[in-house]
Amino acid sequence: MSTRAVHKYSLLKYLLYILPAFALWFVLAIYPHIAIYPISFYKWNGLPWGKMTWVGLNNFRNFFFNPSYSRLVWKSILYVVSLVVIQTPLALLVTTLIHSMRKGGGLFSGIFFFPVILSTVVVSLTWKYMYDPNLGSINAVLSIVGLNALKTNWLELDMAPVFAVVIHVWHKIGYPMTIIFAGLTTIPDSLYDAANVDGANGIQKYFRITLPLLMPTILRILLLTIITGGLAFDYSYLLGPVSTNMFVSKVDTLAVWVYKSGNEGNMGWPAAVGVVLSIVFVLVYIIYHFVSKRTEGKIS
Amino acid sequence: MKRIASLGLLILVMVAVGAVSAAPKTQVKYSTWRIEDKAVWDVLKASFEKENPTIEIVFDFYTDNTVYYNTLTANAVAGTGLDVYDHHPNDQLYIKAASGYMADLSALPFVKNLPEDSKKLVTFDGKIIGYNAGINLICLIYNKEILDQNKIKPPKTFNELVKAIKDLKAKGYGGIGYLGSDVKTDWLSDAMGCSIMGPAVYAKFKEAIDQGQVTDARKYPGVLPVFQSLKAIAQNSLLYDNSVSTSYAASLSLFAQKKTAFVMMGTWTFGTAQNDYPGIKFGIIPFPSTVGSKFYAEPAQITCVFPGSKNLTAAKKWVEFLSRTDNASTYLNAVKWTPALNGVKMNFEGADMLIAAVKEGVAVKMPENTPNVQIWRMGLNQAYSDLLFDNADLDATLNAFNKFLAQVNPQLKK
Amino acid sequence: MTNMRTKLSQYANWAILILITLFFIFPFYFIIVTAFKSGPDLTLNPIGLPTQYQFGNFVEVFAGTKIFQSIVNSILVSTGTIVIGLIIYVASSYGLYRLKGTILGTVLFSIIVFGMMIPAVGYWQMILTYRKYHLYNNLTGVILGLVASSLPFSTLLIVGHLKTIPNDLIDSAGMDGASDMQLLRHVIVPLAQPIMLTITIFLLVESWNNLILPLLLLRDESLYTLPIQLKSTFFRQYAPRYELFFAGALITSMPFIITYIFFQKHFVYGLGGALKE
Repeated sequence: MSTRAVHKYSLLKYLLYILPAFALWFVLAIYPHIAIYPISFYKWNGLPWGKMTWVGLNNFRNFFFNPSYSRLVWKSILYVVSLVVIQTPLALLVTTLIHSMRKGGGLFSGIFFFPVILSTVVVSLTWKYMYDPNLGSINAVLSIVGLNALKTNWLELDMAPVFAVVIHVWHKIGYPMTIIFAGLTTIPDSLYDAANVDGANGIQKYFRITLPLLMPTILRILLLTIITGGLAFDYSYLLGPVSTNMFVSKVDTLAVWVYKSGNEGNMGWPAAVGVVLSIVFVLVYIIYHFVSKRTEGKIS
Repeated sequence: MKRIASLGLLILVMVAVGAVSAAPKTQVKYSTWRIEDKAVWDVLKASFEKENPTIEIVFDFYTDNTVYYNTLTANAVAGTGLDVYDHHPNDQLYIKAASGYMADLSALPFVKNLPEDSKKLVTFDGKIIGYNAGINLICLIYNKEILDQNKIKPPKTFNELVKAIKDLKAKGYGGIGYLGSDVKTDWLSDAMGCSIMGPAVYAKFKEAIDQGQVTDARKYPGVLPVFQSLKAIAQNSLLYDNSVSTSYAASLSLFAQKKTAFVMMGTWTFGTAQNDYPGIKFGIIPFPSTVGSKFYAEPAQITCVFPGSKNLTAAKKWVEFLSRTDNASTYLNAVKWTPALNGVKMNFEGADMLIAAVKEGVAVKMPENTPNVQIWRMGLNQAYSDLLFDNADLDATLNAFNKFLAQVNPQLKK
Repeated sequence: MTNMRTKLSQYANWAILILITLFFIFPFYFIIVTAFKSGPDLTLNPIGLPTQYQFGNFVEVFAGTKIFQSIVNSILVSTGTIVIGLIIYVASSYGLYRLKGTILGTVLFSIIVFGMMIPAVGYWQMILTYRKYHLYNNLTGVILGLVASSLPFSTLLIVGHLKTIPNDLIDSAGMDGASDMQLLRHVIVPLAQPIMLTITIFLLVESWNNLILPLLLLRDESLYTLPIQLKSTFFRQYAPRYELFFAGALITSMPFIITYIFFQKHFVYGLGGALKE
C-alpha cells in the first residue's frame, strides 16, 4: 500500500469517501459533547429567545457546597470501582472454570453471555422488581431462609449504586468473558506442560503463568470497564424511584443527573454536571494509565 | 352568458366554502398527566370546538409521568409543539416561571374571579402564570364501618389517634397507610408544618433557611413541634410497616383490602373512589399533630401556556374557556375537587365533607418559592426522614441538621 | 492421588459454575412466572408459582397498548441503522484504508481515536443540535444518531480487517484496470463480509436495545421504540404493573431469544469479537 503512489487527486477522492461519515459523526456525536464546556459557564433557559448570561463558576458551586450533590461524584466513582471490582474477577473466575472443562463449557458460556442480547429496560426493571422491598424476591427469599433482619429497601441504602452495578455485571459480563477467552488462546500449551513437569498445581499455574500473560488483556478490559462504568446511565436511571425528578435519589450517578438536572430551567447546570463527570473520567483514566504502564513494565 | 356567469359564481362560492372548511384548523396541544380525566376532557373539547370552529384541541396524555417534566423541558427547548401544559405546584413551579416557561395570563377574565389565596398562588413577579382549578385536602381517610364496629370515634387529637391505632392493631389491623416511597416525608411534614405553624409561617421558615438565616433549628420560633410530631408518629408506630417503600397504589390497596382503617391520601381520590377503594364508606379527618389538628390542602395542577407556542392566541383561548365558571364547574364536579374559583357549586358525592372541612378552616400550602431550594431541601428532607422512618433520636437529628446548615449557609447567604 | 485431586477439582468447578448459573438464571424465573399471574395474585403471592395460570396479561398488553407500533418502530430503526451504517462505514473505512501512510490519513485516524475518548455527556445539547437539523422527534434522527455514535468503533474494526487483506490482491486488480467502484464491489466487500456480519449483529443489538437516544429524541408516543414503550406503558407514576411489564417483555424478547439459541455462535463471536479490537 505504501508503495503505491497516492497523488493529490487520489487524496481528494478518498477524502470524499470519508467526508460524509465524518460530518455526520462530528455534528451528531461529537459537537454536543464539547459544546457543554462553554455552556457550563452560562445561565440560559434553553428557550430560543432566552439570553445566555455569563455566571462563571456559579453553576459549579453546588458541587462545592452541597453535600447532596458532591455525593454524586463519590457515587459515580463508587459505580466505576464496584464495576471493576465485581466484573473483572468474576469474568476471570468464570472463564478459567469454563476453560478447564472438557465438555459443557459451551453451555455455560452460552448462559452467561445470554443476558447481553436483552434490552437494558427488561434487565433493569426485572431486577428492580426483585429488589422491591414488598413484592421483591430478594427480601422474600431472605425471609424464607429466616434472615429477616437483612431485609431492607435495597435501593435506598447509601450503597445503592453497587446494586445497580450487580445488574450491569449480570447484563454485560459476556463481553469481558469473550475477550478473556480470546486472550487465553494466545497462551501456548507448552508453558503449562513445562509447569506440569515441574509439578506445579492448578493454582500455581494460574498465578504464575495465566494471569501475568493475560495482563494486557486484563488491562484492556479495565479500560473498557472504566469507560462504560463512568458513563453508565441506563441501569441507574431505570432503578430510580418512580416519582418526580427533582431530588437526587440514592441510586443516581452523575450521568443520570445530567439528564434529570435539565428540568430546572437552566441549561448551564446539566452542562456543568457533564463537565464534572468528564473531569472524574479523565482522573480515573490517568490512574489507569499509570497502573497499566507500571504493570506492563513488570511483565517485560 | 348570464347562465355561464352564474354557474361560474356558484362554482367560485363552492370552492370558497370548500376551502374554508378544509382550511387546516389551528391545533392546540394540551399536555397533561391526568389521563384519568379523559371523559370530561372530551366533553369540554367538544364544547370548545363548537364555540371555536377553527381551533382543534389535541390531548397529549402522558402515561409515564416520570418523564413528564423532562419531555416538557425538551419540547420547550427544542421548540416543538408545546402550547398548553399542566404543571404541579410542588414541582419547582416558580423556578420554571422564573426561567420564562409560562406566559402571562393577566388579561384573562378568570383572574377577577379568584379568591385572594388562589391569586397569590398563580402570581409570580407580578404576572399570572397559570390557571388553578381546584385544591385537594390531604388528610386521613378512614373506614367508617371499621371504626363503628370497634367503637372508635374519629380521632381529633394526636393522643386519640395513638389510642385508636393501638386498639385497631390489637384487633389485627395495621397502621396508617402512607405512600412513603413516592412522597417520602413531604405530605406528613407539610401537614404538620401547615397545621402547627400555619402555612404562611411555615413558608417563612423555609424562606429563612433559603437565605441562610437559620443556624439552629431548635431556636426558630414554632418549628420544634413539627420535628417533634414526626418523631412522635414514628415512636408510636402509627404508620403501616415499611412505609418508606409503600407506593401510592399500595397504600390505597391496603385501605381497599381493609387491612387498615386509615390511609393518608388526597381527596382527589373521591373522583376515582370506585376504583381505588370500592364499596368502602369513608369519612375524612385532618392528620392531628402533637399541637392541634387542621386540614391541610394542596393546590391541584396549574394549567399554563408556553410563551413560545406557535398558536399563542388559540392556546390562551383554551385556558380562558377552561377557566370560565360553567366549564370549571363541569370539570370540578366530574373530578370531585374543591374549587379554587368563586362561583362554582360543588355537588358530587363527598362534597358535603369537603364543604364542612373548608368551613372549619383549611391550611392551603403554598408551593416553595425559594431560589436556592436545590441546595438545602435535601438536608431538611434527610432530617424529616430520619425522624419519621428511622425513629432516630430527636436531638441527634437536629444536631445533624444544624451541622448541615452550617455547611451550606455561607453559600446560601450569597 | 492426582487423579482424585483432578476429579475433586472438576467437581468443585461444576459446583461453582452451577451456583453462578443460578444467579444468572434466577431473574428469568420471575419474568416467566410473573407474566402469568394476575395483578392481585402478584400482590399476595410475589414469589411463588401462579395460583392460577392466566393469559390476561398477554391479552391486555397486545390488545390494549401501543406495543405493536413500537415494535414496528424498532424494526424501522434497526433496519435503517444497519443499512445506512454499513454503507457509510464501508465507504469511510475504504477511504481511510486508502489514505494509510499519508499525513491526512494519520490525522484523520487520530481524530477518530481521540473522539472516542470524549465522554458523551451532553444530553441536552444533543436535543438542541438534533432540533437544528430537523432530526428531533423523528426516527431518522434516532437512526442517524446510532450510526454516528457507532462510527469510530466500526470504522476502526473494518480498517483493521482490511489491513489483513494481502496487498497483491488489490494491486493485481488495480493492474487489471479496475476502478475503485469495481474494486470495492468485487474484491473488498466480499472479503470484508465476516466483519460486516459482526458489525450487523452489533448494530442490531445496539439499535434495538438502545435507551438514551429514543429517550432524548422522541416525544410522540407513536414513535417510541420498544424499550421506551415497555417502560412507559407499565410504569405510570402511581401504579407500576409488573405483571403486564413481564408479559410484554417476555413476548418481545422471544424473537431474540430464539435467534440466540440457534445462532449463538454468531452472536458470541460477533459481539465479542467486535469488543476485542
